Amino acid sequence: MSTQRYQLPDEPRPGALTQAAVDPMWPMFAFILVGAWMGYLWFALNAFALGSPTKQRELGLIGVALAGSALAFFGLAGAYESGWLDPGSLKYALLGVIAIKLACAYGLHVMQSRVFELFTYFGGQAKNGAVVLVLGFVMLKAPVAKMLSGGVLGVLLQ
Amino acid sequence: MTAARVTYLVEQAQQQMGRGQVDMAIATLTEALGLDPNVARAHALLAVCLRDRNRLTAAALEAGAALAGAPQDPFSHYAAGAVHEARREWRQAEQHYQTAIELAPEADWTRRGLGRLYLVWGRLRDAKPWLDAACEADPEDAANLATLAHWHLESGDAARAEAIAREALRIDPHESEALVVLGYAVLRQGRVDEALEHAAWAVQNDPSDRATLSLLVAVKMRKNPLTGLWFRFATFIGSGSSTRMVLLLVGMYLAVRVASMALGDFGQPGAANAVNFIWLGFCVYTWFAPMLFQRALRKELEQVRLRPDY
Repeated sequence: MSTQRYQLPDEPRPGALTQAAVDPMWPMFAFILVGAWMGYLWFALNAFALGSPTKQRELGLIGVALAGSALAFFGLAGAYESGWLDPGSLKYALLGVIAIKLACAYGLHVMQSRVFELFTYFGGQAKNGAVVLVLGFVMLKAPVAKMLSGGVLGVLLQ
Repeated sequence: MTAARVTYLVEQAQQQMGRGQVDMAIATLTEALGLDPNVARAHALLAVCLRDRNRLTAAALEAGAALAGAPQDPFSHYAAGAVHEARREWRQAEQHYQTAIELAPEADWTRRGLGRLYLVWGRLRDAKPWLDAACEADPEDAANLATLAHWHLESGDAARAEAIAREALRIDPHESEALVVLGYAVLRQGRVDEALEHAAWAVQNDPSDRATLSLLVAVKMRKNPLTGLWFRFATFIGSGSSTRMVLLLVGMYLAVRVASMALGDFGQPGAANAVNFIWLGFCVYTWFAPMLFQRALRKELEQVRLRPDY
């Protein structure tokens, strides 16, 4: 009896975007060491690169981080203007803005870690994000900080 | 004659899958499909095997062929769900698992599939009723108990996870998920040597499984004085919901910042600096320890290569 072998297709090479996938720890480091702006951008890119099923929620969380920290900042500025907060208390209260950004960044990290685990479990190859992080730290941190300094954007994105 | 041979090959492939001989099962199923390419069950089984070998594009094609051939077969939908789950298409996976449950309302494996998907998704509250239902449908199936034990481990109840994993292993001593869950549950309770025994047992049982090797690396990290502290910290932070974890981490940051600022305000700049340096050291340590873990895991994975004919 002659048996015709059933042919299985080869796996296609991953697309350019998939090849940019990294461990979400790298965007988290970028958030802490370079600035929130780089962390948000990298988390957003990584959501697409990982093909994250929670990408809408992840992008929404970046929106919440921006809107929440803006709201907290303007609220505190209003409280200071109205005399409810003195300069000594204001610096403690401003930690709340950082806490909002940090909580959202950790939330993004948790969501992407779950997807990343599955991505690597099924053979996905992640890039090492160290080079991008070092480049961001050495080449972009200072100029972006200078560009954003003094404004509301600086509070939201740094 | 051909039909009988195909039926025999499909049954043989199922047995090979049960023994973890995935590559042999793929060879058997391709032989069956070479004889008759219209056997939906063979396509569905092949989809599951290809998924297990990370060939997700081919697996998706096979799952599609199974659905086209037998759209009312719950196993076709189960296979499609499993493939979508691996491709991180969780909404589609959810739909297929739900259809499988509708088509086979008495089956345990369809419910386990949906429960497991929610577990991977991080929807712990949604996962529990389906895992309970799977165990109720077949309380003697070790895989059901193993997944339930996994749920308890994810929910932070290591003792309960241990008890259920032991029950699963009483039924099937080779249930690989139960072995891994038991190892982690014991490790989280601080019984490192016992965890190492379970890890060795799990590796012996399935030396190429990533989860098994992760357990082995986790035990080694916990035993190492340099990384053991991080492991204990990560276990404490990670045992519970994601919200708890985020709140703990942000709370720690705020506590350190407030302490440092308050010390500065009370004229103790030296103490404030000390707090900042200790915090910085702690951060650097907790950043590098996971990298060491990943490197160790990569090394373990590189060391394991199964013969293709296994």
